[in-house]
Amino acid sequence: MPLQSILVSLSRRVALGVVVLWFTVTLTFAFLQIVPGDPAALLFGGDEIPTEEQLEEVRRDWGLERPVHEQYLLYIERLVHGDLGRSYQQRTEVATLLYSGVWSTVILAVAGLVLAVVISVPLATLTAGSSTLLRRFAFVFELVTISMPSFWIGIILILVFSFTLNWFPIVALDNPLSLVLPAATIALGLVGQLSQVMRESIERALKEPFILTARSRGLSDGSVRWGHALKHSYIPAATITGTFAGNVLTGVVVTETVFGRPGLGTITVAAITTHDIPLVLGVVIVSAAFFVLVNILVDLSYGLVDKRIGSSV
Amino acid sequence: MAKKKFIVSALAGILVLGGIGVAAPRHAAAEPVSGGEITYGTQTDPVNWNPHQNNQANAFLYLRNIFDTLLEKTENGDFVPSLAESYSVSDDGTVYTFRLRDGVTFHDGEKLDAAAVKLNLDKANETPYSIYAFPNYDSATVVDDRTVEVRLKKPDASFLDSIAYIGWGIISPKSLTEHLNDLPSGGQNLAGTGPFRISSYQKGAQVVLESFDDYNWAPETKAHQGKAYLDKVTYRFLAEPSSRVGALPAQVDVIEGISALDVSKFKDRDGFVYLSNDANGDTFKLSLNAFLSPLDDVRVRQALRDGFDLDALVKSLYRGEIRRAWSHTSPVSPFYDKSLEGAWGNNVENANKLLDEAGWTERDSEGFRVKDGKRLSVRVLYPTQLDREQRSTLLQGISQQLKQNIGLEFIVDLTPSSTYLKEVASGAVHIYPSTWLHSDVRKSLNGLSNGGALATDNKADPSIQPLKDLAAEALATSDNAQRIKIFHELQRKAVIDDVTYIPLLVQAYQIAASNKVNGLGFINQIGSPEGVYDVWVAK
Repeated sequence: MPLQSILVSLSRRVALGVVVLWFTVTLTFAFLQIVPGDPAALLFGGDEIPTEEQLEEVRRDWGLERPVHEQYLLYIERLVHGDLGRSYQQRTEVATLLYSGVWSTVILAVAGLVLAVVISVPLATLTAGSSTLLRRFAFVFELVTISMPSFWIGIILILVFSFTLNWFPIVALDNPLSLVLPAATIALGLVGQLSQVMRESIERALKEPFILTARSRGLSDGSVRWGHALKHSYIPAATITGTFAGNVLTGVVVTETVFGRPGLGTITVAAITTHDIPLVLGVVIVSAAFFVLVNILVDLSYGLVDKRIGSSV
Repeated sequence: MAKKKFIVSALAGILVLGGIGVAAPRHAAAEPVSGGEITYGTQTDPVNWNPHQNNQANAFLYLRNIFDTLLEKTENGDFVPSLAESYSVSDDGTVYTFRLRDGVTFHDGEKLDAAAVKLNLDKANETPYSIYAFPNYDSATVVDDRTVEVRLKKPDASFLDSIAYIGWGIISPKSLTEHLNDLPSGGQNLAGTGPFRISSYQKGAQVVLESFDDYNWAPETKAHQGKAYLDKVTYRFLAEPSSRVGALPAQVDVIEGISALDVSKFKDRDGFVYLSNDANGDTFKLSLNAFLSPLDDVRVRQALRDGFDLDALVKSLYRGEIRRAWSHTSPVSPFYDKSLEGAWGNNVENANKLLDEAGWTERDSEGFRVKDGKRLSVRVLYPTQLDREQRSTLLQGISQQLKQNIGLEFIVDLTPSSTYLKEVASGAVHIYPSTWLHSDVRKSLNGLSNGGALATDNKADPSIQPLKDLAAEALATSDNAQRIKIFHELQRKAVIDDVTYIPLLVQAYQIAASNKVNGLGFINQIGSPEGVYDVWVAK
């Protein structure tokens, strides 16, 4: 694939991403205008009535006394400079607060995704196109994990493996084993869909003529599955994993809360319960940016997996 | 005069120690051991670490380890020396002189002197920086290195409450001048004089405190002197109640915040200590808007108060772990009016009679009372973020009983609303359930004297002026007996005569721990869990 066409498609996707982001930002701004009541009090947040001095501070920061279009431009200008505003409840920059949770969340999300892939790939590959007992077991397992809310999965995992069997601590965060159960909670939320999608693609591939050719060359069933058919499930699997990674915040909100782990999820919950609107808006904008970024990466990865796709997407 | 006060309070201190012994009799005989560490599972990651800016009662257990106040409040409401070794009040009640203890240092090596205290008092009274500004604070003056004089605009009995409140915790002058903007997010720049210093803080996860070895100025309300017994304490924030309960005792040594359903796992069980304590301040209660129809008729308010069986509801919901309330004020407050107990409530017959008299005689198809074509209906606005301990279930239970017993429609409006206080202030809400968790005399009095106006300062209605005058008198007087008398009068008016408050629950705090942990307790002033200065772990 020529470099030029990669660059063209990349810049097209980035431009699209910027439009999505601009749309999100505009929506958050519109939200502030639409919600009834004084926007300064809304932005200040908390459970108590703010004083006039406190409201004055908010109005200054957000330019609330100016006409709406000027407020909008000020808002965009601040965001372009990476200024997500200030949390009046925590009296700290929103960007600082979010940054303090990013790494913990990224580690948890990556661990969860890796674990999901490690479980799904063998599960799908071994059970595709067969009707063994393992297949039936896989079917039940997938159905159960898909139907159970991850909140519930988390609580059961804690109860069994931490509080009863005492295998994995959840309190001692400096112990690496404390990552196992939260990562498993994230992974189990994905495994069902991921392995079903992969199995379907593998089964379709197993019916293709090139598999027959491979078998006629005397390849074993194992190498046919692992060496040839599996590759065909990469694209749908990447799409699902990408969507999931984009939605990672939804997953970690629940998981981090149940396990009491630091991160963006915990920050989001705290922001919502204390009505910390600038922080909530910051979370919305950052997760939108993250979603856009992941989608670009997933799109690009198609080209790497399957050379035929290239720039035509 | 100051000296005499301290003899009285020394006795009070002994009483307090006796109280702790009663709470955990198994350990009374054991000798405290120094050294070791504990992990403490807690509900709250503080929104703000600066004591001048934090209003979360559940965060005070951390702050009380890190900061001291000039005075300390005892269980029976006296004030005893802490960072101030003595104080005196001028005859007109407007000038307080504090003599500071010698040799106190902050965690960052700064020295506690009059200038540091003046800086703190000025900051704590500066808005919008501080949320604990005192309305009658005028100024602080450095008299000499160890003496500070505070001038009030007028005499005010609630001043010492502020002095002893953790909201006026004394912060290192270096923290206040060089790191002011970093203080909300915690960390090592936040230096106090308390028995523990912050070793590390990870937002959303935990804070680790280590013993401050120089600490040698514990107030007499504490069980020991010198540095803390523990070397280190890790407070792990576990917001999910089932996680806290399950983690004890294998992964944490102490937890706080235990729901009524989980209490039986620890209470009277081998290997555990369970402590619970009534909150000081106000009770959880319904505030009634006496200026909005149909509640502008006192007979309707009284019928509402007496139209349901609170005892039965509370018993079935909380299994005896949480008590019903009889007054606007907590039963552990020194101002509590005990004579209200049994004086009101659950009188359905009389409630129906009152509503008949008030003209609500017809019924509509759903069985609700009607007058002039209007249904007898009130709206209760309850923001979801304040809903805990099954309180909305309690409100629903009340609603059901009121419908059956007296044909009153009690709509529980559970809205996740950021503007609910505004809605309340606008005067369009009938009932607003609320609690104040502090023992600040001023706020209690403000609430008690609002005559059913709901919001704190929106009504200039002449009818409530006598109440306001009484409250002002209670704040200004230096005669505590007189203050108690006024408090009783206001409580009786609010609950019995005017029915502007319907008390529901006495708030309570709970601690459970492995039984090797000793010396746990609660903060006298507000009743929430105390820091861990006196805590020790049996070997």
